Amino acid sequence: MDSIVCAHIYRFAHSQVVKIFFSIYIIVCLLSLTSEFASPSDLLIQSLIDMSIPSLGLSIFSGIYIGTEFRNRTIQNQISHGEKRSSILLMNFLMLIIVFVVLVFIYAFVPAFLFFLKSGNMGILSGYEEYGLWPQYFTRLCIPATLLTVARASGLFIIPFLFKDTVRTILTSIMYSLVVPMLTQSDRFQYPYQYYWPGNIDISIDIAIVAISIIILFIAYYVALAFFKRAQFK
Amino acid sequence: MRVFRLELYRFFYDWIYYIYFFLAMLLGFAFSLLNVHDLRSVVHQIFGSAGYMYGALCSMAVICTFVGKDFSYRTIHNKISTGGKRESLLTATFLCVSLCEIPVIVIFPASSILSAGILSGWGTQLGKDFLFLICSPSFLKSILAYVIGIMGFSAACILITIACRDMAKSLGLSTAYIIVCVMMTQKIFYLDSLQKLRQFISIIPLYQMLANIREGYIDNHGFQAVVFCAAIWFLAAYILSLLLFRFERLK
Repeated sequence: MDSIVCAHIYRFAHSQVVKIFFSIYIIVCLLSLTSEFASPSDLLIQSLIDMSIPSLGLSIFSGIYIGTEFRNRTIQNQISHGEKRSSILLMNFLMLIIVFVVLVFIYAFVPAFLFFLKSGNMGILSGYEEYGLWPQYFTRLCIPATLLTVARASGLFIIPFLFKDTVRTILTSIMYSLVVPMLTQSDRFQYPYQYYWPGNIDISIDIAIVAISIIILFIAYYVALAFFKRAQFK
Repeated sequence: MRVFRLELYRFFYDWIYYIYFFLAMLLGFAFSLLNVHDLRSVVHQIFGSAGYMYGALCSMAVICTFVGKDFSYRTIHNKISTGGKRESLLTATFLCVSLCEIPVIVIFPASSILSAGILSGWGTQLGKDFLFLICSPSFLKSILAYVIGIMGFSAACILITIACRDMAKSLGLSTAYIIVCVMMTQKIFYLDSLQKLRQFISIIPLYQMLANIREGYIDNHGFQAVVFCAAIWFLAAYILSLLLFRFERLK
């Protein structure tokens, strides 16, 4: 298990593709800075609940990174060296979740931080001037919102292990990234954090959202495991 | 002509092409679910930056898969080694891809508007609006401008694929190109603070589409602007691809 962790960290840190990918992604994220938001807080919360750009980013990343592992037979070699399939999957699954969270945070925090440097203060979410404490904002807003965004993207963590191929993974993940945000952020299905503020929502709702998100992630992991355990490698 | 027929054969006998067609149709249906009770907002969004991005991504998938497959499966090497000229190969690929992507581009707005019409009810006031909408020449002209604009804009994906010589890399870079261009044109078009940049990006077909198509209506001047920019974009992509492909060393 430790050797897989070390191998993953080494490969991630030394990969040229990862560096190029994150450079392009940061440029894309900076484009959201040009929007006319009232305050950095507004920009932050709007970006945090928007999963479309991070999920498109993860689609490309998972296709190129995990797809290359299958194409170069790295995973096949790990299995033939006696590593358990479940531990290989767990490492890759966790890495995808961490990368997705990083992508969400880059998309939300980098433009908000630059906006903060320009305006001098974070401001308060428009319409909620009477509330507004930053510790509350982080604990009650960022954590559940991020977890829910990760849960909505859980299909993206399964797709690379279903197809075991770069191109199919990228195309299916892009399709997922286009359809799921569209269906979960449309006017018909109001997204709970759109009008969210700690002052007017009970803490039990936060706990329920966190619990449901973690359950969805567990289900996604076991679905991927069920496919990965039965997968035949050429 | 022989190469062109060969490319056409490849397209129409490949089940992936039909899967893309079906997926674009599904995407259009899902797009209409955004707001099924209001057909106008569906039309507004299709002729907005979201609709253009989805259309361009559908077209990009077709381009990168079919052009990239030639490089990844080394069929392009075989074509060259059997005496095919690089110029004629590239011209045939360009023409064939551009022709074959049209149904995939058209089906997305068509299925979206049709499903929105069905879901919002045929016999209602919205139903009357729907029939009026699809019968109007201006709306059909807008769809034509949509297709031409997306075709011109996504011609750059062929250039990217030829530069990358790999299907996966070209898919990644083309997606980044589409997202960056859509976001940039959207911001520059809608924000007055970025007014000075408008003259620099007005050559991008997406910008002309955003500026000239208004809820399914486009005037002659706007249509000409879209076609002109798309033609320039297409020609530039073709010439650059030709230069790149001519001197490219194939692995």
